[in-house]
Amino acid sequence: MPIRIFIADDHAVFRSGLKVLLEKEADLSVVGETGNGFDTIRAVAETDVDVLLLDVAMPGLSGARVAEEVLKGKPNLAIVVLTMHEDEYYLQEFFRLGVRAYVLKKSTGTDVAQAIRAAQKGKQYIDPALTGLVISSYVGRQPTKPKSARLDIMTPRELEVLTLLAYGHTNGEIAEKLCISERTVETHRTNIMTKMEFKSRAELVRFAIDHGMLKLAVD
Amino acid sequence: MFRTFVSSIRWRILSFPIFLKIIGIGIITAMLFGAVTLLQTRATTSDILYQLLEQKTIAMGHSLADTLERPTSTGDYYAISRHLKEAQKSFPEIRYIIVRSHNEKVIASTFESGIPPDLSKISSPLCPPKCTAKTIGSDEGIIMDISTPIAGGYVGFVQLGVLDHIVTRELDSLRNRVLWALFLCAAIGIAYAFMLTGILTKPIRHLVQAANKIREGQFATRATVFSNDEIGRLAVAFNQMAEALMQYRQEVQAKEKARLSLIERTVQIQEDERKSISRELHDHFGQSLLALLLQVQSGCKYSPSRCARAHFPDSLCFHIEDTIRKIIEEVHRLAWGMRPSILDDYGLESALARHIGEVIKTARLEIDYQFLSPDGLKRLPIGVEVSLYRIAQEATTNIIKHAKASHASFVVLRQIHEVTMLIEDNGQGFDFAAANEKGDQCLGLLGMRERVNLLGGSFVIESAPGEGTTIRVRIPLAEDSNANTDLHSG
Repeated sequence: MPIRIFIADDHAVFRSGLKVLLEKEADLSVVGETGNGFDTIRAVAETDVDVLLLDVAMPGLSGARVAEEVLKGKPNLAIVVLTMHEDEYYLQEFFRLGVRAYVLKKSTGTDVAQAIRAAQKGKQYIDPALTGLVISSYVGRQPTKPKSARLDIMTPRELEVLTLLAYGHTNGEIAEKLCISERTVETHRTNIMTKMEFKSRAELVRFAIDHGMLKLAVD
Repeated sequence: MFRTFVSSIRWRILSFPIFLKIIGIGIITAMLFGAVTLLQTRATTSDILYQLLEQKTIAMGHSLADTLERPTSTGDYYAISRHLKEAQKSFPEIRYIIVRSHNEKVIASTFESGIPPDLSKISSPLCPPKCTAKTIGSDEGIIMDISTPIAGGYVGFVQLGVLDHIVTRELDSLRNRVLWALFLCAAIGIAYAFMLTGILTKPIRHLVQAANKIREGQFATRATVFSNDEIGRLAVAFNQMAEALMQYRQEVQAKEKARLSLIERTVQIQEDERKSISRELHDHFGQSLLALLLQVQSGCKYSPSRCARAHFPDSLCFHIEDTIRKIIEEVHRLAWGMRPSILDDYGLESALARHIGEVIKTARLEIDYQFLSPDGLKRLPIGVEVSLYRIAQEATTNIIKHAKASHASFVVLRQIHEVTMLIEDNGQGFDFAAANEKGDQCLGLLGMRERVNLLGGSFVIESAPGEGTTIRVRIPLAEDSNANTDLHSG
């Protein structure tokens, strides 16, 4: 029995092209298609399908909401997301929602059939074009070494300047606030950066947050 | 040197208050007038008084000579000395009387311990014939000295010395009276100057107050017109100027308002257009290309006829597929540049992360990025997100093009009532004032500033040659900033 596929995409020409392509595979059969989000939810609920090919950007309801709704009714439905977005944020969101596969539209011809078969078997599938992205974001996020216990090497004045810098004050404003010259602020700042081995303002702000000098919390 | 001294004195005098100037003029005039009057009166009066004293001395000499004629001729010394004492008693100004015999021998005198040597001889002219007193200076004052012959000089001579105390007393009292009068005049003058300055400077003070108020922004302030003189006319002119200023300001404000709303509209239209073009490219054009790709793929792979295959060899297929893929990527890039969908779908944090990621890939620049937000806050209003994103884009372009920096840092601090974005680089920096003049680089900065202005925020740029550049954008957030939390708008 061939895998029953449902195509949800607002672009009719794309849909028909995809349909032709999929119908040529012996083990795949397209059982229905829709062009917007609401229709998709209704149609998928009424039809027996194995795999839903879902477009991210559709009029009416976005792909993510459709996936959410459809999975509420049929938690075991295999959803393959077809998208133009080569982005980790979209990828993360959809996998969080419970879709099985994420395929870029530009690689449809070669990979979509593979993705459908994998998803139908309950496996997860990410477009090979995106593996680089996934790995780099995984590897890139090394936990930064916490810079702690070095607060004591700073003078009270330097701590003051650090806090003000973290709050986004400019040198001029700090000079005015502490009644010192802008040159002195510059010196304090250089000292702070060297002592704490900060490479950038961003690092300084992060440090201030981690050590409770800068409070962003909601009351 | 002398000139600067003079001009500094002049400046000091000019910076006195008007009150002092008027009083100064009054007092200097009064003093000059008083001094001249005093000198003139004193000279005239002292002439007259000395003449009178001289005449009186002569008359006394004559009468003494008459009185002493008999006792001198008889040699009655007792009577002589009595007459001398009486004379001195009746007129205390008489300093001395010397009676001499016809051969000029001293018979009697009022000196008790001998006659001073310079009086031992008759030194003064005889009257008659020459009736002019000789004046002798002494410790006690000027002495009018005259010698009168007794009985034509046959019997003897009487020499008389009269002190001018009476004259000096009169002159002193005259001087005192004049001085008193002068003081009185000066006092009246000061009071008068006080009143006058009050009258003169009151409208000026009002004018100054009005000018200050206008400077503080109270443009409806008008000066009171007190009189119709020069100052009154100044006040009228001032009021006309204030009126014109107010109108001008209203015009400027109206224009500024129009300009702001125009900019707002322009920005809005630009963003809307970019968004729709971006979507159009991405969704429709891109999808059509994808459909084309699918058709080519299915045509190539599954064409059963050998004939068709001959016309459509595999290599050509791949070539076409490849070209279409490239076009699709091109379209994506274009759409992304117009407006990244991630900004609308996932917000500023993700969009900036993505943007910075791209920059790091293409430019030789290390970038630190921190987006700090307390948990549980809604997304920023889309207008704020778009503005911050565009500013970050512009700043990135500046850093890459001009700053020659090796390191940059992007920090976004989200707080409840405001959001702050700090963009800092360690590049060569620039002279803000000089850049303002050039205007080239500044157009971008101006654009950033305008965007922030539209949102009621502040835009600060801190830079100096060789010290990198810091840009800080701070945008206030409304209490109920109903962020667009919907993902995927279309």
